[in-house]
Amino acid sequence: MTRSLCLIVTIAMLGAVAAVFLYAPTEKQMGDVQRIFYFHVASALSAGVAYFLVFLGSVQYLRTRHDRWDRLAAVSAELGVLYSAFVLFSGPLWARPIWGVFWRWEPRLTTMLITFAIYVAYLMVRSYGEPGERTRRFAAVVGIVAFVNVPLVHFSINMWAAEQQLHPQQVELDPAMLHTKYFCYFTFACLFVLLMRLRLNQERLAARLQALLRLAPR
Amino acid sequence: MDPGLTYLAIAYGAFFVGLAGYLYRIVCRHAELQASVDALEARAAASPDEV
Repeated sequence: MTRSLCLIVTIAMLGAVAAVFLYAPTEKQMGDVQRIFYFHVASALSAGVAYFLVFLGSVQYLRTRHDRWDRLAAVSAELGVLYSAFVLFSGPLWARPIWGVFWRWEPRLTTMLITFAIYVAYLMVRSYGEPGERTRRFAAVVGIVAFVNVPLVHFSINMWAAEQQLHPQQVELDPAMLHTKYFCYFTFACLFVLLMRLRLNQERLAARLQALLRLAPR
Repeated sequence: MDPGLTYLAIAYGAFFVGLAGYLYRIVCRHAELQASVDALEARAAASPDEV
């Protein structure tokens, strides 16, 4: 299963790169740098899904106290932070030639940075807390509270006045650009499932090792 | 050269380097964990009274 998924992701990724660089037309005003858009937006979407899974895993952990929900939340937070890091890295690279600056404290950028910082804090809570039920419970509460910020990132474009925004409130794309965008979504969805699967297997193995170490004589 | 192309190359380059690094880290860690689990299980199988 994992091998097939690896193959699908590799083929899809090659297809996505080909679509981004060969199929999608060059945007008239922004030029080639606009091609950052495809992976940038797909990463942002993946980060949103990952943060929702942190929320889901945290709620379910508090309800059931099953470790598998805690593992889901932990792995999702890690993936969410990685995808967000790419969004926060690629966004300024796209912005520099278009807006003339790498960064401006406008609503979308600011809310995204805050969300990223909150989930980094979530991972720190998990890393530095003593391993055990108390830390997992505390992390679950942080995972639920942190999710409040995610819809803010999405709706920040409409919640603040247009004059305060650098992100466009509406985007119209050429059909070829639209196809490329959706293909990148598909590729990132496959990649997300693969990474999630690999990390969950690893976490299960780590839990098994902990159990064996507890049983082994000193 | 269009400066946009440089930014484009940096963005996609960073994405693939980051992804490769993350996958490499997962694979290495998985191998380490698997080796430890196998060693403990072999030890447990060799002397079932200890575990």
